Amino acid sequence: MNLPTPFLKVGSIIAVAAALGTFSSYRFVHAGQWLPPMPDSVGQWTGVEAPLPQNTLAILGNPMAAGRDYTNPFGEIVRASLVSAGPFENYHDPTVCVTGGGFSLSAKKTFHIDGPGSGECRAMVFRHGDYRIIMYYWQQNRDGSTSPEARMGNYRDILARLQTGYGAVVQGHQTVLVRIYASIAEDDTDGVQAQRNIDDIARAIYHSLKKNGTGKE
Amino acid sequence: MTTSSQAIPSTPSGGPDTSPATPQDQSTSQKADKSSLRSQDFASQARQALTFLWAQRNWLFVIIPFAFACWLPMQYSYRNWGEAGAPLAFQPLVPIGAALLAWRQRERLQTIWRRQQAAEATASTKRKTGKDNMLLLIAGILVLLFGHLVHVDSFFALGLLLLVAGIILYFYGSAILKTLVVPLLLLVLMVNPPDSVLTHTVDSAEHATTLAASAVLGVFGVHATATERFITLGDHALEVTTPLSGLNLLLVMVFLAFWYNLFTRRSILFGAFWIVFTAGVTILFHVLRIAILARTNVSSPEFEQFLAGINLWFLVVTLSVILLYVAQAFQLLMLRFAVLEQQRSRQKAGNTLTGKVDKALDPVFRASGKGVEHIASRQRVVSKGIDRIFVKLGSRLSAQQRKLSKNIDSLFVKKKRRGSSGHRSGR
Repeated sequence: MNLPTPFLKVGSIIAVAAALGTFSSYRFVHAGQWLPPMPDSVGQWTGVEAPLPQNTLAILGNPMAAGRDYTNPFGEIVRASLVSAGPFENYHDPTVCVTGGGFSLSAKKTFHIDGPGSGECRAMVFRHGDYRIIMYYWQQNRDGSTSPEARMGNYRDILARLQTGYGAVVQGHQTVLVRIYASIAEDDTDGVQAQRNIDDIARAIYHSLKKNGTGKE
Repeated sequence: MTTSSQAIPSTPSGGPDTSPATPQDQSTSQKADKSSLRSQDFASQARQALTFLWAQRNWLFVIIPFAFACWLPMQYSYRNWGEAGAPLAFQPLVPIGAALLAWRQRERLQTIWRRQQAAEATASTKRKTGKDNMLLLIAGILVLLFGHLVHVDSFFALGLLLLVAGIILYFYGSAILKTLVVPLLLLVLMVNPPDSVLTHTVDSAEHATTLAASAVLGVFGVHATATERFITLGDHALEVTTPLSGLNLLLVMVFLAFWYNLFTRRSILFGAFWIVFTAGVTILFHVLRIAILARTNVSSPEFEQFLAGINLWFLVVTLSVILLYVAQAFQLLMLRFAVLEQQRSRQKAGNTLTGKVDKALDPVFRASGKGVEHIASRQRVVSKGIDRIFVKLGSRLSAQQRKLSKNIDSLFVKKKRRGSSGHRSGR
C-alpha cells in the first residue's frame, strides 16, 4: 500500500498536539476536583455554613465551592470561602471583582500567613465611602504550596498563569482559592482589630488545608 | 456572382436529412441540444468535482487532526462570541472572510502552482518549496500547546494561524504562502486584545452612548440627563449596559467594511473613507436606537423591551443591506464621473463623440444624485440609445458598403464586357 507519507507526517504531528491539548484540559478539570472542608470552629470562633450565592458561582464557571461565617463571642464576623480552582475562569481576582462592585483598592501587601517558611498570601483593603473591608487571598495547592498572585489578566498575568498551567497539567496539582474577609469597624481606625481577627482564621484554614492535602503538618 | 452560390449550402445527395428544417424544428432541436449540453455539463462537472475530491482524499489525514486541534480553542473562544453584547462577536466572521479572500485568488494560485510544478519538472535543481521546512508548523504547535497551558484564547488563535501557514508552506511552498498573505493576515484579527483594553473600551462606549443619546433626545426637545451609565427621563432611567454599548455592532460593521475593501480590492483612500463612513452610519444608527429606547422606556416599556432585545445579527444584516445599497450607488456614481472625465479628455483631444451620444449620456450625469435605481434605468436607456446609434451607423455603413461593392461589381462587369468584345474583335 502506498502511504501518503507527507500527509501522515503533518497529520500525526497535529494529532499529537490536539491530544496534548485535550489532556491538558482534562488535567485542569482534575485540578478543580479538590475541595477540602473548613474547620468548624477556630478557638473562640464558631463557624456557620454560608454557601456562596448562585450568581457568583455562575460568574466563576460553577466550580465546587464552600463558604463559612466565623463569629467570636463579641459578635465580630469573619467570612471565609474556598473555591476549587480548575480552569482559569474560576480564578477571579478580588482586585477586579470587588472593585467592579463599587469598591476601590486602598492598600495591598503580600506576607507569610504564619511566619517565615509558611505560605504567602495577599492582604487587600477595599473602600466604598466610609465602609472598608479587609481581605486575604491566596491559592493553595494540595501539597501545601501557596501563591498570592492574580491569574485573571490574559497577558498581564501570563507568567503566573504558566506556573499554574504547568502545575496543573504537568505536576498534577489540585488547587483551591481562599478568600477570607471582614469589615473594618468605624472605631477600628487602623484596622488592627479586623486584621487580628482575620489572621486567626487565615492561619487555621491554611493549616487545615495543608493537613487535608498531604498531612505534612 | 460567386458569393450567391456560396451562400446556399449544397445538400449532400442521398443523405437522410436532405429536407430543409422549418424554423420551429430548428428551435426545438436547439433547445434539446442546449438542455442535453447543460445536463452533460452538470454531470461532467459533478464527476469532475468528485474526481477532484477523491484525488484530494489524502488531505483527510491533515484536516481531521486539524479539526480536532481546533475543537477546544473554539469551545473556549465561544465565550467571547456567545455572550450578549460580546465586543468580539465579529470574530466568527474572520475565518469565513479569510476563506472567501483565498477563494477569490484561486485562479492566481492555480497559475502559480502550475508554474511551480513546471519549473520543478524542468529545472535540474529542486525548487525551494519548504517541504523540508517544518519550522512554521512546529512553531504553531508550540504556541498552541502554550495556549493550552495558560488558557489564553489569543495563543490558540495565533497557534492555529501559524499551523495553517505552516501546512501551506509545507505542501505548497513559499510562493503560494506569499500569495495567501492577505487572507492569513486577516486571521490575525482572531487574536484578542488584552482584557483590560477591552474592558476600558466597553466602559468608554457605554459612557459615550449615554452622553450621545441624551444629547439626541435634547435635540428633539426631550429633557434627559446623563449620569454615568444612566439616561434619566423624569422618574425613569435607562441603564446603558454592555449589550447596549454598541461596541459589538460597531466592530462587526467596521470588520465587514474592511473585508469588503479587501474583497473588492479598493484603493486605500476609498477603503479608509468607506470604513469611516460605515462607522459613522453605525454610530448614528446605534445612538438613535438608544435614544428611542430611553424615550419608550417611559411611554411604552413593552416596545422598549422589544427594541432592547433585537438580535445583533438582525441589526448587522439591516445595516449591511443599507450600506451595500449606498456602496453600489456610490460605485455607479464614481463610474459615471470616470466616464465623464474620459469624455472630457477626449473632447479636449479633439476626438469628440457624436452629438447624439453626448445627448444620450447627459441625463445620466444629471440624474446621478437621484439614487441607484434611477441611475440604472437611465443607464439602460442610454445603452439602448447608444445601441440604436451603432445599429443605424452599422446599417448605413453596410448600405454604403453594399452600394460600393455593387459599383465595383458593375465596373468589373463593364470591364469584362469590354475585354471580351475586344478579344472577339481581335480574333
